[in-house]
Order: sequence, then structure tokens, then C-alpha cells
Amino acid sequence: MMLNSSSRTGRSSMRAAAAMTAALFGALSGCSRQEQVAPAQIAPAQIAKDGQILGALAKANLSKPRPPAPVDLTGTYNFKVEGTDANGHEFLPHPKLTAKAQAFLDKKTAYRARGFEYLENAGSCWPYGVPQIMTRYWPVQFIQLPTMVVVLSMVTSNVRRIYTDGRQHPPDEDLRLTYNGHSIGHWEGQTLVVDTVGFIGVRHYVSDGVPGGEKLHVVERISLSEDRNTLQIEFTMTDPDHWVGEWKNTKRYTREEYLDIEEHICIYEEEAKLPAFKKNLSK
Amino acid sequence: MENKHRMRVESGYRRRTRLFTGLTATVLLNCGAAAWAHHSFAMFDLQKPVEVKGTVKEFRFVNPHSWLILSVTGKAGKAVDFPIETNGAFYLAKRQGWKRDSLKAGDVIVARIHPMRDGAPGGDLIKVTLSNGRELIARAVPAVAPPVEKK
Repeated sequence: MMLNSSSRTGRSSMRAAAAMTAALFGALSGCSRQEQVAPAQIAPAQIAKDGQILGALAKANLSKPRPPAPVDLTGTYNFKVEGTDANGHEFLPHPKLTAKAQAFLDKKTAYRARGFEYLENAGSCWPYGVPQIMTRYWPVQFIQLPTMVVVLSMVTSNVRRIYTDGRQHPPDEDLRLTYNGHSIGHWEGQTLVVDTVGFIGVRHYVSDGVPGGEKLHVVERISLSEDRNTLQIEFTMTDPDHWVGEWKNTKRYTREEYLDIEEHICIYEEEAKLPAFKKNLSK
Repeated sequence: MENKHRMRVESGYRRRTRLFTGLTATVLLNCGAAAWAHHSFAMFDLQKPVEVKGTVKEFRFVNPHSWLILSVTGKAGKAVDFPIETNGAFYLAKRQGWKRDSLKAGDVIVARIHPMRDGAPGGDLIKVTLSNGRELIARAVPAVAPPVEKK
């Protein structure tokens, strides 16, 4: 079902995860297995009534016949430090920035040279948003269901919902802007291709010091290595207000079998007690 | 890198003012945000760690930052609160073996820190030395790569 037949691992933890999720899925959907159907038979997400899209966890949606996903991404992953910046977490090198984005980065850099921070996000309890929540120090968890992939990012206890039930992005007038955006995914071979739009452009950064705006469009090609122990995300991002052309970068993550995510909530009043906060001009 | 600039403050803390060299400024520019650290590091002097001796007044072992307040005897012999932040409990526990009671109110410790660049009381914790000599590491790697290693 969810942990599909292409899984080549016999790890007990994976079996346990499968059993737990199957139990959850069974309870929600009232069924215990899915039948394989040809892709042509997959209908887009059903319109249930009054123009509302069937919820990803609706019984009728979960039980709809679908081909099994080619890969099960379920697992806990730690960001793998690679790249050219000191920590490997940013999307370097930058593409050619627009004058607007370059001016912002220059201002931020100038403040830092004087020991201050300018319009920081996380340090003042603003959300990182996509894509930064995918590239921080703390681990991420993928929970793959037939209709969605839930991504838990430990940093500030973030949740992403990637709908794989055939739905499209809402029309503009129905797209409520968020820091993680609206994500839909489909499979191309062994790769989950995730398309995300609908971002808030206020204190939202794509990479350290480079803003992402409402025109930000993020495409992630997510795949697992053959041994299923390395998760790879190829990011392709556009935002004509802030850079020219496509911003491409690939990040990798190591599967962690002895790790879980813990609560990680930023509380403004607590942050304000920290020495760093006193030098954060964005508070 | 740290030993070269080692400056021990046996009691209390030392306010320092100085000019920054071009090299220091460059390093800080490039490394203003330490991604694992949840917020910018621009306000800490990452190049010249100092040691501060004091008594633990409060220790919070939480995410995204753990932090402690040291009661430090200042120049005038008066106790001053010296706030120190460090990695979240998740990191300290998983990577450095800290426990919730690794530090307790009343413990007399020496904290090695990256001080505030402007000399204000406070800093980012590198390690703690307890009165029995045991060390608790808070940061396994420097907050920034040494300049010679930068690409």
C-alpha cells in the first residue's frame, strides 16, 4: 500500500513505520489495501460538493484506486552539509540578483559588518518558509500517504503538505499565501516532482539574505538513492522580482534510523532574553 | 584558532573595545548566519573567545536555544547577570551528550564563549568547565570556518 512493493529494505523500523501508518490509513480509509490501476484511470481530485475539493485524508480520497507510488520516501533524514558556504545550508552560488534583491542583501551585509542583524526571520520567530525549512540543521521527516506527502521539518515545528491526489494549485483568487506555499506533487519515474507556489513575500528568504516574493515558484525533484539511504532534492526556483532566470541547487540528506523530530517552537519573549536578540534590529 | 586568541578572565568579565580588521569584517560578512543556530551570529565575536567564571543562576535546556544566566562578579564586586545562549537541547543531547541536569543553579563554572562584539555582557557558549574539571562541549566545530579554510 503506502510502503509499496518497490521497497527493498527489510528493516524492522521500516516495517514498524509501515505497520503504524497502515493502521492509521486503515482507520481513516476503512480499507487495508489498494488496487493497482493504470495511470489513465486516475481521476483528478474529486469535487465533492459545493465546489470543495475532497480532503487529502477523506475516506473516499484515500480509498480511491491508484497505482502504487514507485518509491516510498517515508523516513527521517538529516541535512548533509555540502556546498561552498561555511555551513552548506544556503543555496550558493547566487544567480544574478535583481537590483532590488541586491540592494537588500547589501544592506543586510552592511548591518552585519557592524555587529547587527537586519530584518532577520527565525531569530525574531518569523517562519523560515520553503525552501529554507528544508535546508536547516535540524532533521526532516517524510510521511508518505496515497494522497499526500507530509513533510515535518523540525525547525520551528514546521509542516508541509504535498498533495499527490491529482489536484492542481487553486486559482489565484483562492490561493491563500503562506510561507510554505501550496505544494502539489506527481511522480516522474522514481522521482517525486513537487511544484510550490503561493508564497508570502514578507521577511521570507530563499537563501540567507535573498528575499523570495509572491512570484516565487519552487520546483523540487525528490528522489532516493538506490540503497534508499540518501534523499536528494534538486531545487529549481524562479522569482523574477529577485533574480534572473532559474536558481538551481541540489541538496542531499542522510537517512537516520535512530532519530526522531522533537518540538521546536520559537517563542518571541524567550528569544528576547538571548544576547543575540538585543542586536537584532528586526525585532 | 581559539587558543591563539585565548584570553582568560578569571573573575568577572572584561569589556573590550577595538577596531576590526578588514579580515575579521570579511569573515563576519560571509558567515553572518550560522544555519544550525536558528539566528544570525553577526553580533558575536567569533574570532576571540573569552572565558567567564560565575555561578549558574538559571539553565534552560530547550529548543531552539538552550541558555543560561551566570551570576558574575563585576569589577565593583557586585554580581551581574551574564546571559549566555547555546545550541538547542536537541543538538546538545544528540551530539554532545548533555542531560537536562548537566547544569544546575548554584554550579560554579567557567564558560568559554564567543562574546558580544560590542562588549556587552553575554555571548554564545563554546564549552563549560565544571568545578570538578569536567568539560561540557556546546559547539563541536567553530561557528565559522577559520579564514584559511574558506574557499
